[in-house]
Order: sequence, then structure tokens, then C-alpha cells
Amino acid sequence: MSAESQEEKVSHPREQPTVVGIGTSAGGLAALKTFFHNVPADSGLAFVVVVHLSPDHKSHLADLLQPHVAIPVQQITESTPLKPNHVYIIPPNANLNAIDTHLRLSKLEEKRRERAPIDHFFRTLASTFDGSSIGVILTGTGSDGTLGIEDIKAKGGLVLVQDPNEAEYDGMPQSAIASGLVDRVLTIQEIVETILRYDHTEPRVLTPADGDEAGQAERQLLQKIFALLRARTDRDFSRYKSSTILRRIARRMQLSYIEDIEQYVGKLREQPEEAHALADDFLITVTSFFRDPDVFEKLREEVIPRLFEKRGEGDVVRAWSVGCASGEEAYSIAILMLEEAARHESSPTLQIFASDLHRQSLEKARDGFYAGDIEADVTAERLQRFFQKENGGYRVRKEIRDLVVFAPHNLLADPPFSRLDLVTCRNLLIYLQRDVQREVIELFHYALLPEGELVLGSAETVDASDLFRTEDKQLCFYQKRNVPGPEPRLPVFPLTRHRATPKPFNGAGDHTGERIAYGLIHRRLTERFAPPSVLVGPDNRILHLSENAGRYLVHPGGEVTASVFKLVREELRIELQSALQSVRDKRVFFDSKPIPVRFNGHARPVVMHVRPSLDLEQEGFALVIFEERDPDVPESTSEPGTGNPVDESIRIQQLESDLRVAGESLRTVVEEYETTQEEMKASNEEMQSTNEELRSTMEELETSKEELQSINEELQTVNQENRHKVEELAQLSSDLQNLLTATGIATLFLDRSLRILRFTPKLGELFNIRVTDRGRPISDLTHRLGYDELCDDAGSVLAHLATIEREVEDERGCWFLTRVLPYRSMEDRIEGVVITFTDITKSKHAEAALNESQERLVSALEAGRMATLDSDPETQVTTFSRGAVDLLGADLNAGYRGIEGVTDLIHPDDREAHRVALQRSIDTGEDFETEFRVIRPRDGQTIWIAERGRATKDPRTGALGIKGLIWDITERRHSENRLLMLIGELNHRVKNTLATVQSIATQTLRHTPVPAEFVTRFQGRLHALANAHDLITESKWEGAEIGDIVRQQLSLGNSSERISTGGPAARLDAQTSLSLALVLHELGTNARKYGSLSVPDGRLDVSWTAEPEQNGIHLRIDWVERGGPPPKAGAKAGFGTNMIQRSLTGVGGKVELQFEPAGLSCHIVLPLLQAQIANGLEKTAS
Amino acid sequence: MRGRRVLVIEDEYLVALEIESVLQAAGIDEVVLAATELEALDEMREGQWDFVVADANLNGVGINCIAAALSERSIPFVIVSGYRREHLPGEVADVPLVAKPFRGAELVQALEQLLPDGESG
Repeated sequence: MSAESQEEKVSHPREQPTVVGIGTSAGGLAALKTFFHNVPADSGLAFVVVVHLSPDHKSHLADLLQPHVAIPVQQITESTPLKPNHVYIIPPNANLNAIDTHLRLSKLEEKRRERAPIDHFFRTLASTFDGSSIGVILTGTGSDGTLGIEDIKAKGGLVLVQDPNEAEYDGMPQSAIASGLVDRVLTIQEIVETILRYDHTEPRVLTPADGDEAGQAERQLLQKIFALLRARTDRDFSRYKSSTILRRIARRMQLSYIEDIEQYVGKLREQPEEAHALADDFLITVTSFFRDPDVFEKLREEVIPRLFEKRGEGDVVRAWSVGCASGEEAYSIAILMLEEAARHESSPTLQIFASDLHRQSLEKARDGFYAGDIEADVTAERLQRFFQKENGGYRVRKEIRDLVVFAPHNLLADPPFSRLDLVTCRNLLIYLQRDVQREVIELFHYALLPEGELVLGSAETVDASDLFRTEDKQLCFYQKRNVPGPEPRLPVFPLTRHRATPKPFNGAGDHTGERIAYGLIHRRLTERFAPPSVLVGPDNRILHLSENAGRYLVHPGGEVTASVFKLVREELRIELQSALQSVRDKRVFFDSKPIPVRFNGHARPVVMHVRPSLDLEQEGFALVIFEERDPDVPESTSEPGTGNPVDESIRIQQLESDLRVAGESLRTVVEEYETTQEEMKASNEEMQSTNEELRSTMEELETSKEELQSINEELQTVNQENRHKVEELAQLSSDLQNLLTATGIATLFLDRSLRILRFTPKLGELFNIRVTDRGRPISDLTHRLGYDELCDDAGSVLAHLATIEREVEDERGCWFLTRVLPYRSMEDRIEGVVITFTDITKSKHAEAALNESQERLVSALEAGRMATLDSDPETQVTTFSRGAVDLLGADLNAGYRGIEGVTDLIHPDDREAHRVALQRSIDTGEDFETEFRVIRPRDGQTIWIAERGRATKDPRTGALGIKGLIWDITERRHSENRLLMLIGELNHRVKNTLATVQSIATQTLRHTPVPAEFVTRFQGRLHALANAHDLITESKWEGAEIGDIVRQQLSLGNSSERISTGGPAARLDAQTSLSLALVLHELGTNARKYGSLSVPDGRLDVSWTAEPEQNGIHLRIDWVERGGPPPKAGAKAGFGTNMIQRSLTGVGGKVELQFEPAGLSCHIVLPLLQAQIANGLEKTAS
Repeated sequence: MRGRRVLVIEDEYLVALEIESVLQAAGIDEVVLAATELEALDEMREGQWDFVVADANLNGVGINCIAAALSERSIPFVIVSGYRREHLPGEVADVPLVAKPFRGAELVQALEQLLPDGESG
């Protein structure tokens, strides 16, 4: 620090010390030590430090720092006056409200911790501190501070950042540098030096208060600077407010340590970078997401919903964020609009244009990445939905970035966007001059749709209340009045780069060109010179005349011209030419000698005074004043001094001669000059017409440009749609791909000439196909399918458009369902063939297995003479298994309908019983079992069928259905009947036998007086009967062998040697057998009691023969007794004899008894059926 | 029952004998036995019968012919059989049936039922 600057400081005491705000985090203590170590005790600066620290810990930072710092270090917890040469440390959770003369803190309280305390601090500093401020970011992680420096920068402050190479942690410095707003990146040492030099540099620039016009000197300098910037950067700031501009220039000067503005202009001229830096500084705008929440709240609640009203799909909502800087405002609007769109079923297309001049800002905006903690401005919900967290910050999601079109656009020169619903132009108008503001407002009026909304910054107002209706004065919302705007809309502004060349004079009505009226210039100049005068432009055209100036002008013949040389009186012409020439070149005043000019034949001396315009902006303009003198008064200046008259006369002659010569030469020169002038004029005219042409071409171009712009916009919309469609298509294509892969159906697409278009990977398993085979005819391919008709089928489908399906087997035994279909394009044209191969091996096998098992079942059913029947109540289809053909006489192909299909086959007598059985099954839900007869059509035989099954009822139609099994029970029925008969027969026989026994008992009793004998007799007869029963039971009551009966009844074994029996085998029926047995029993009893067997030598001979007679075969039995006492013939025939004689009459037998002296003989003849004779005549002899 | 003539058609001699005994005991004067269908038809043709007692089965031959002949002649008759009613042919459904083995009184009662009203043993 030099003594000089100290003095200066002392001599210019300032109300406020410059505040140096320092933000740091990790590694901060060491950095701060270094920093303050370099700060002198009398810097005159106030340092405010914000460090990331845990808010819950009591900070000892002040104590730690103090030993290293020459000035007092103070940890503050309450409002503290701001004094130079002090260090203030603000704890992170302190509630810093404002910085003016004090650091104003509200009382510490348990407040939500500020996410980004450094941002908050910088913002507070920028918005509330009046004086000059410097922001410094030192080592630290994260991105805190990056947002805050924007505000400092916008307020005209200085931003310095520690060199990331030096910083212990480079997160915060890097993030700040990435914002592009940092003035210098320096080491700590250099930062301190820079701050001190910066602070002690006091540019001598008188910055006027806002709204005041800058002083004359400043204006001239500004014009120079604007001209320089125009040349360097192509940007024109001449319509920006000089106050703002000067403040920015002062800052740049300060940063370059330049105090003299002329010197700075020199620097600008020499260093193009500085010109760019200055231009960028001019363009700085502060922006953040949802800056001024009230404004965005109103947008969200009122304005945007209104824009969406009556807009549906196909409509467009267009917004324009003017001066968008790094795009936060545009994105904020996009977010609000998207949120609104989500509330509508069909939302209009959104288009948001964002424009700015600052190209770096636009780049940043397009990138959509916001370093720094924007969490403070954007709600967590929006962050989640519209941003993507990335390394150290957030990136706006593509969905939103696609909505916003960022374009470099000069509001003052380029044609505006049009048909807009919403224009936001906040904090830009304040930089513009008042009349320019009006033009911009007119421009917005043009760009907006009727009732479109215009949002301005808080300090900005619309003066033109005829164009806009104030909707909210506080928040600066304006609505377009649908009135015609002021005339020519486009181009509103001349192209600024051509402004240096004044346009040709085309009458007094030209307001679109020079903003400074000629009249004004003229008046200013004539304030000093009252005589008639003429304002001449740089192209020597007369621009303005004072009232009496016409006296000195004469209109020559020919084309009308404004050229001063053509118009001015001939006598003055030459003088004027050289006068204008020298005035412009040398920028000096010129006063001519009196020149005699003839007015109405009288020559009068006229003196011309020519004055150039000194204003840079009005360079080339000149004022020509005509001063008419009295002709009688001799020119005092030309009055020669007194001297020798002779000498004088000689001298005069000499001089006159010289003059003549000079006059001659001058005339020659003038003549030459005039010739040249003529030529010049000719070429000038040519130039002029060329210029005209150019101008009209320009106008055409301008129109074309407009058209192009609108076409471009349309294209943009179409492009957007196309992009959307392409995305959809890609999605669809991916879905299809997945579907094809997932289904595992090999698919082949062929074109109209049966060449391969596309195929799925699965097809490779069937065909020898590769990707390179696309375009080859299908006939070229070999495949593993037994499907030689493939090509023919494809051709046939193409020809007849009918789908062909086949089941084909490949070499491995896999089965494929092959479907050949026509390929229909979206326009319903046949573009080829699609062939699908579905693997149906499993179902094919399953089908075979099913068929087999079905066949087994049916065979088993048939073998068991069974069949199934099924009558579906819903479809009314009745089906039978094959066995039903034989059992019911059903016709498998008859197509029986409903339950009648079954019942009609049943014997009419049994149908009712069947119906009842079904009804019971439906009522109880149990299976039914029924039997019915069927007249079999095959042979007309009545057979019995049993049916077991379940009846069902369709709940809707009430139709009945059966599922059942039927089988043939005719055999069983027959045996049951036989059994019944048998039981009846048995009963009959038993009863008959009992009747016989009853009779034996009563008859025996009647003929046997002695009881003891009755028992013997009765038992004997009962035994005979029982034994005969034994024999016929052995033969199942079919009868008995004659020999067996004889032998049984004669009880052979006792006296067998005296009895002989013999005869052929012959079977007697049961009845005959029983009767014969009783007869033989009586004969035997009599023989033993009275006959041949009653004596020892008596013999009995029983023999039988079968003899054919005329009415069948008869069995003749001969009973012959010999050697016994002679029988007592004539004796009263007893019961026994009666029985012998009569018992066999019932069976057609005849009995003859002969009582001969040699012994009794009995001859019995029994009719015999042929079948009852055994083969051959067996003799059995004892 | 006196003076009545009764034909007993029964193939089983012992049973016929028993019926005869019962009828004689009941006071019937003349009881004639027929063992076969042929005999029975002959007897019917030649004699006058007040009643007939017939077995339903004559050595395997049914009663149908005999019943027809009896109906033709309007001779009342009683069936004596081991068969139950359901095993008898439908033609004789109205004819009284005396089940074997029978009690004498049962048979007599059945016959008495056949008499016109007022007449009795």
C-alpha cells in the first residue's frame, strides 16, 4: 500500500467500508489464516466470514484466528455495527437478515439450518448492502456460494475465487468457476493483493443516478466505448441506460486498476478480451429458479391455468423468456406448465423460447446442469420429478430440456418470436433507455397473442397503457389489449451494425433512423449563430434549413437534388467545398472571406461560417451559416496597409496578373473538378440505384427471413412430433422384439417376390439362415422341416390372400404349426407374406397320448359292452362313445341334439321312468342309476341297458344334460328272471312234496291200525321219498338215473346175491323218478314182508329195457320174484298196492301186477323222451 | 254236498287220494280222479260235474286247456297248487286257490263258496 493511496483514502472518506464476504468450508481454517496473515491492519475493509460448521457446536473459530490476524476478529451472534478493519465471523445457523451499517442478525433460534449458508450470505450481501462488495470463495467441498456470487456480480461487485490447484478442497472453487461469473481465479496471496488494489482504485467516472442523463463528457466517452464494443463484439449497447453502463464500466476499470476513463478506453481499444469481458458484464442478469416466488405463484395459480383453458391436444402454448441468462426462469416456467399439463387429460403442446445475447449463458442453459445447491429454490418434490441428481448438482431432465428452445436473440435487432401466450422479460428493461423501453413494449405487444400475458421485473412498468392492461401492479403482470399496435412492426429496429453509416436523406418523416432529431442539433448550433444556416450531412446533403437560408440556394434545372453543392449559389460553391473539406478533416472552424454574390443583379458580400459537429455520434455533420455584409462597407480585413502608391500600383498590376493567372488556373482546376464531379455524380447515381436495389433486396430478405422463421418454428413443432413418434416407434419396435423373443415363435417375413425381409432369431433353429440372407429368395434356403410346399404355399397365400395352416414335422421329430398369412401394411396393401412356426411338439405328443388313452378307454368300454354318453346342457350337443352304436343303436354321426338325443333311443315304456330318475338326480344333486329297455335296430331284439350318471341343468336356459355310462344288462335280467321262476318252481315242488308227505301220513294212518306199525310204515315211505329227492337234487332236479333209483330203493348190499338188476342207462324226469321210487319202495317192502325176499332162497330180478313204440320210446321195467311163497292174490288191495298201481298214471305210466304161483311179477311201462336215453345200452349187473 | 259229483284232476296219486278222502269225508258221493290232462278232458266230456278240483300243473302241463274247457262248460272249480297266485296264468286269476299242503276244511270251504247262495253242505 502506497502512501499516496493512503492519502487518497483519507482525502476521500467513504460512508461505507467495502465489505469482503468470504465463504469457505473444508480446509477453511488454514486458508483463512493465510488470508488474514496478508491483510494489513489498516486496509479499511470489513471482512465477513461464513464457514460451514456444525450449527450445534459452539464455534471457536474467532479464538483460533485471532492470533494470526492483526485486526480484531469477532464472532457475532447479534446485530453488530459494521466497522472497517474488522473481521466478523457469522455462525452457520445465524439468522442474517441484512447488511447495511450493521450486520443485522435476529436472535439465534432453533431455525431450520440453511442448506447453503454461503449462498444465503452472498445473496443477502448483494441485495441489502448499498456499498461496494467483494465475494471470495476459498477451499471447500460442494457447491455452496456459486449461486450467491451471481447476485454479487449482478450488483456490480467483485468475485474472486481461490485457485483450485492451491485449495485444499477444490469443490467450491471449481463449482464457482464453472458458473462463468468469476472475475479472477487467484492464489490467496494474490486475492488479498487484488482486493486491496481494487478497493483503492477509484475510477473517475461520475455515475449518474438512475434515470438521469449522463453528462456531456460521459456521453461522448460512452459513444466511443459503444463504437468499440460494436466493432469488437457486434453488440450495440447504445440504447442501454447510461447509469447502469457507467457503473459496469467503473467496475471493470476498478478491476483493471484504471482510474481514468480515457485510459480505459485505450485499454479497450488495445485488448479485445477486455471488450468482451465488458460486454459480458453489461449482460449480466441475476436469475434463479422460481426467483420471486410470488410471481411464480401467480403464474402457477392464475396465468398458466388460463393459458391451458380451451386448449387441447393439437393446440400450442407458447412462452418466451426474454433475457433468459442461464435458463432458470425458462425452466421454472416449463416446470409450472408441465405440472399444469399433468392436470389436464389432453394437454396442448408446449413451446418455450428462451433468448439471451450472452452465449456462454445460453450454453449453460442448454446444458441444464446447475451446480450449486438449488435445493433452496426448488421444492424436493420438483427436484425429484424434474431434475436428475448428478455429480455435485442437478441436471434438468431431458423431458423439460426438450420443451425449451434456447436461442441467441437480440431483442433490439432481431425479429421477435410471435403468437406467444406468455412473455417474461424481467429485469431487462431497466437497462434500456426510456424510449427504447417503449419500443420493446410495442414489440412484445406485437409478439403476443390477444390477451397474452407479459411479466416484467419488479422495477419495471409498462408506460403504454393503451397497449397493455395492468393486471397486477405489484407483481408487474400485464395483459395485452387487443388493439392494433403502432405501425411498421418489422423490422422495428434498423440493423444496428449499419447504424454508423447514416441513411440517405429521404424526407422529414424518417423517424426510424436517427434517434436524435436534426432539428435539435440545428437548434443547438444556431443558439450561438443567429444568421441563416443550413445543416449539412456527412454526404453533403442538406438536411435542414433555417428560415431564410433559401436566399443562398438556387434550384438548378434537372433532377431534384439535396446536394449542397448543387443548391448553393454558384459564387459560394467552390469556397464551400473547400470549407466543408477542411472543417471535417481538421475539425476546425472555418470562416470564409466575404464573397460577392449577386442577388437580383446586385452583388452583396456573403461570409460563410462552417462549423462541424463535435459530437462523436454526429460526426460528419456541419452547419453552414451565411452572413451577409453591407456591400458599401469595405472589408476591414482586406484593407491594405498604407504604403507607396506607385509601388502599390505595380504591385497591384503584378498581383492582378498573378490573380488572373491564378484565376485561370483555378478555373481550369474547377472545370476539371466539375468534370470529375459530374463523373462522380454519375457513379454516385449508379451507386445510389445499386443501393436502392440492395435495399429492396434487403427488404425481401427481411421478409424471407420472417417466413423462414415461422417455417422454422413449424418445423420445430413437426420435429418435436417426429421425435416423439420415433420414440414411440422405438418403444413399439422394442416391445415387438421382446414379444417375438418371448413367444419363441419363429417368424419369417417375405416380400412380394418371396425374398426374405426379416426373421426372428428362433428361425435359425429351423432354417439355415443368417442375417446376410436378407433379400435372398426363400427358395434358396434349406430347412429342416418336412415341408416342401413352403414356397408354393407362400405363393398361394400371396395370390389368394387366404391363410394356410399346416402341421409339419422336422428332422428331429419336433412338430410345428406353420401358418402362412398375407402381410398387410398399414394402408391395407399386401406387401408380402408372414410365416410363423409354432412349436407344437408337446401338444402334439399330448394329443397323441390323449388319443391313445381315449382309445384305450373306448376299447375297454367296448370290451365291457359299455359306452359313455354326454349331453351338454349348454351347447345341447349329445355325443356317444363308439359302444353306444351297438348298445343303443345310436348313430355317431347323427348329431343328436339335447337330452332327447338319449331319451328317444329308450323303449317308449321306460322313458317316463328315465325322466323321473334324471329329475331326482337334478333335485338331489346325486348320481342316478336306472335301467331301461332298448329295441336294438340291428336285430329288433329288446335288450336291457343300465345307465349310471349325473344329470345337470343349465342355470340360464334350464336345459338338461347328462353325463353317464351305459352297459348291457340283458343277460343279468334273464338270469334274474330264471331265478325268480326257479324260486317259484322250488316253492311249488316243496309244497307238492309237502302235500305228498301229508297224503302219505293220512293214508298210512288210515290203513295201519296199529300205531307201532304206522311209524315203521310212514318212516319207510318218507325215507323212500327223501332218498329219491337226494338223487334228483344231485342232478339239480332234472331227474335221476333208473339204475340209481332201483338200487337205492332195493337197498342192495344186504341181500344183493339174491337180487339182480340190469338195464340200459336211462334218465327219468324228477316227477317220474319220485313216483317210481315210491312204487319200488312199496314193491320192495312187500317182497321182503310177503314175497320172495321173505324166504332165504327167494330171488328178485329187476330189469329194464328201452323199447321204441309208435308214440316215442318207452321204458319197460320188469320186477320178477321167484322162489318165495306164492302170493296171495285176490286179497284186498291195500294202500300199498293201490299206490303201486296208480302212482305212475300221472306221468303216463302203466303198471301191471301178476300174482303167479312162482312169484309176483310187476311190469311197468314209462314213456321216455329220446334225450333221456343214454348212449348205448349199459348193463349193470350185480 | 250230498249228491254232488266232483272231478279231481291231480297227477300226483297220493295227493289225489288225499283230496278224495277229504271230499268223501265232506259227504260228496262221487269223486273221480284224473291224473293227466287227457284223462281229465275225457272225464269232462263224458260226465256231469258239479265241481272240479284241479292241480295247476299236470306233470309239466299247464292248466290252460283244462281251465278253458271248464269255462266253456261253466263248471265251477278250485285250484289246488303249490304255486303261488302270481305264478299262475292270468286266465285263472279269479279262480279260488287252495295252497298245498292244504287242510281239509280249507278245501271244503273253498268248494262251498262256489255253491249258489243259500245252498250248503
